[in-house]
Amino acid sequence: MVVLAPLALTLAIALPASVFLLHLLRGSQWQARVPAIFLWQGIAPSVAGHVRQRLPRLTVLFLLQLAVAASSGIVLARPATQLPGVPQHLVLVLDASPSMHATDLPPSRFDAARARAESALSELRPGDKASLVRAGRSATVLASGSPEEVREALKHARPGAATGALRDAIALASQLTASTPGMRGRILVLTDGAFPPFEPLGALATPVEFVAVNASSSTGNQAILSVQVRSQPTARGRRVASIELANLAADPATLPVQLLDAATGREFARRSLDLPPDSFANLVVELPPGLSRLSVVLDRPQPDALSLDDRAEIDASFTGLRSLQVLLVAPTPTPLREALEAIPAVQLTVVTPEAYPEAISGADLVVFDSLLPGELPPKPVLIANPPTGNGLLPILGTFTAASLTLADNSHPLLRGIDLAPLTGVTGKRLARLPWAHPVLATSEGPLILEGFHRGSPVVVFAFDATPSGFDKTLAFPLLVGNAVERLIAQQPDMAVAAGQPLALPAPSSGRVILVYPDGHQQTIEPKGDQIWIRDIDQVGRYVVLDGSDTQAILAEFSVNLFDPGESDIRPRHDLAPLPAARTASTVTSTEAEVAVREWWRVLAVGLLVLLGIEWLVFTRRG
Amino acid sequence: MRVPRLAFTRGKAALARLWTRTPANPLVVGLSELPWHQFDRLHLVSHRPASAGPGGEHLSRLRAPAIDFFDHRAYQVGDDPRWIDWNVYGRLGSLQVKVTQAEERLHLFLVLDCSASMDWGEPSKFRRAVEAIAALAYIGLRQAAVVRIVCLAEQRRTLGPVTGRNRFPDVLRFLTATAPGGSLTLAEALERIPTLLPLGTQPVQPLIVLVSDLLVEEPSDLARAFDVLLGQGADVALLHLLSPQEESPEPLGEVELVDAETGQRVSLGLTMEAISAYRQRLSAWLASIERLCTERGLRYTRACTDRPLEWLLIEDLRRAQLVR
Repeated sequence: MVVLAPLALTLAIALPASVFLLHLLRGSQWQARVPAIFLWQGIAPSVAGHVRQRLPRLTVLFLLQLAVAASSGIVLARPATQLPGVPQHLVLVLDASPSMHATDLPPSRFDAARARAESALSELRPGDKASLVRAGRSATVLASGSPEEVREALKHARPGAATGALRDAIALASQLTASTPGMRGRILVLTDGAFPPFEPLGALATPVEFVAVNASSSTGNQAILSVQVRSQPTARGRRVASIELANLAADPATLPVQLLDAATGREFARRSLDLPPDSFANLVVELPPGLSRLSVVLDRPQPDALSLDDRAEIDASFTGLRSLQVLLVAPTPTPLREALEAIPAVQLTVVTPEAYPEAISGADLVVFDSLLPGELPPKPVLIANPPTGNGLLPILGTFTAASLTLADNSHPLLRGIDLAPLTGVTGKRLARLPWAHPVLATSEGPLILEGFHRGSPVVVFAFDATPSGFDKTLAFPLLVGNAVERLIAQQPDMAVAAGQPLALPAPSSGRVILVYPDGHQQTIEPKGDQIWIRDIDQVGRYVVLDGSDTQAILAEFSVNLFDPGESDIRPRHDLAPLPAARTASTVTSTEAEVAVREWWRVLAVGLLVLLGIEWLVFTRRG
Repeated sequence: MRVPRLAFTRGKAALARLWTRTPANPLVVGLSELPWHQFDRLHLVSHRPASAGPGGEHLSRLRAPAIDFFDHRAYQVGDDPRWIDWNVYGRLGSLQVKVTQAEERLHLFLVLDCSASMDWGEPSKFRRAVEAIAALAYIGLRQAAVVRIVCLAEQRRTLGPVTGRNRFPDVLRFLTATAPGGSLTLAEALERIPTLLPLGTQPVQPLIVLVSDLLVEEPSDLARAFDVLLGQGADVALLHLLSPQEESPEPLGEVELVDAETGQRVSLGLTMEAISAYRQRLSAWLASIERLCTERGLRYTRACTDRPLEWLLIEDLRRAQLVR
């Protein structure tokens, strides 16, 4: 038995006490009506006795009045019984986006969210179930089971460096609650509200409550949004760094920018930039010769709330530094040649298939257009329009006008490409390649694939661009440019975006060891000829070591938080609850009220009966 | 619903109609349960000659001329020689005058005390008083009396004069529409009753029946009122009603007594000793009331309300010679 309004219980004592006092102070004497008073006047007190205050007589009417008064207080206290049959399934969705690193709520917003989660877990009763979903780069179920298991997983949860997949996490949480139809589902999303708006979710099995960590909307942040190194157009061989800075705050800010040689730690330039509120600016700094790795730091005496975007590091050795020797192997002049020649850093050499073996030695990238040799060279390779009957890519047929079924616009190969013209190209239906995976696919088969063939990155355009006129569109040279950049970038010493999976050629020893920026290591087993690094969720410098005893450095890459949406750590949502779509098999919060059965209605009826009895007694007494 | 037992008595239709209209009125219920057929044998007795005109059943002060022979008496100077019985003179040689008797209607005043003190006791004094007034009116109308009913309250209500049995429904309607309440100075109200007497060449000597609890602190005030009525030649009879609770109060302990009419309050311990003292006072007061009635030749009947009305009328009032 529980009492929903315990304060009203005081009335259960106060009201009868008031009735008692009323009787004591005023009602100790009966009032009796007599036809004439003169016959009673003057009767001596010695005969009549002394009139004095005394305890009220315990008559039926008095006891009924006390019972009614006490019952009123009990009814107002809303007594209820808990129904044991409806356990709860609490799903905690933890926003692990980079903004949760912000330290405006010491020690961090993520820790504040963790504390709220633990508080919610502590409210669970025996028999309840809990789940923990981390909304990081992707939605991940960290734990599902008893509250103790979830509490343990909660201790090890960390915020990430990629935009949180909050929408997917809520959908996943809804599925989790739907998987336990006998339990009352409850989804708590613990977030700071600093996430981009997401598309409306479909029907949810359980209403979603947002629990906002108390992040202040006045908390500002200054960030490095991007760093690019390019050749100076006017002076060949000299490089400049273009740094995009942002003041994502309501007040103006001065940003002292420090540029360092990351390899030596030596500062070679320092600039200061005044930025008005909510503004962006570009800073261009000439780089010293021989700089291989550039580090940019916002060197402020007082760090802002989010330190992840106060430092960036990129590899400056290849970007725009040297010209790219591209060997185009084609039987006839093709549109691909024009597209390759349009790339500024490319020095294109076009050879026929017969002259190809001699020309391959100095090439950084080999492009095969409408032909394939028997063996691919150990270099980055772009294959366009593979011919039928080649020994490397089995072609099962052709197709046209197929609808797209897979298209990731954020993939580096497809960045900035209008995909609509690709639906009309003549595609080559390829057999499944164990070393490549599709990037763009139609219902008939993949159009663009990438992968590693014997350790070398390969991109395949499995279509003929000429018949459909795709080679005349703007998308074609962009696609070729992206492919060249992708193929070159997938060599060791590269820049990687947070959250993006990275594929590396597997070393001869097989496994590799990935050293994270925070120092902890992870051994990764090869998958075919490739090593897939998926868990890139920290900002900083990653090192890939050979898994053998030598532990030679195979590759290094930097991950930076170049995300304006995450750098803006101010809450942007009112976090209104999301309603659930009620289904017959779902125990929703409405039924949660049934879990506590209130008795005040029954007691109120009893109270009325008591009042009726009191009235009857009163009227019968006259 | 109970059917009134007045099925074969006069006024049954009126009571039945009243019952139908106001079935919840306890007065109607009480009236419907009276043994009306037993009252058919009763006659009101007045110590004054009737003077409300011919057609009645009460003796008139007029001895002649009349049809009914009553007696002979010796001739006196001034007697009308036409009433000399010459047959007696022939046999006896003395002049004898024939005396006859006439019957006239009786002026009957039924006075009901409607003060708040009457609405007390179980059964209520007022209810019993209304029943008594109704029964007396029934008897009077049956005897062709000229009946007036006076309800003494803060606002006096009167009915009448009514004559004849067919007016009994009017009596019932009037009585059942009466309710007790308010304060009343009984002596002053009684003193104003003569204003209701009809004016005429001959003095009206009505039979006034007062049904009341007579709760007057000073009996001398009541005596003065009775003297006023007697001075008008009225024949006054009193039906003094007391409730059992008045005669024997319960020991309630610490009580605050509230006067039903004045609201005056007295706090006292209602012990057995106090009740005993009260009963002594009550006895003394009752004795003084009875004494002043006796001294003035008033017919006084005291009855308790728990006594059935038929017993009250047939035994008590007959003993008091108000009915026969």
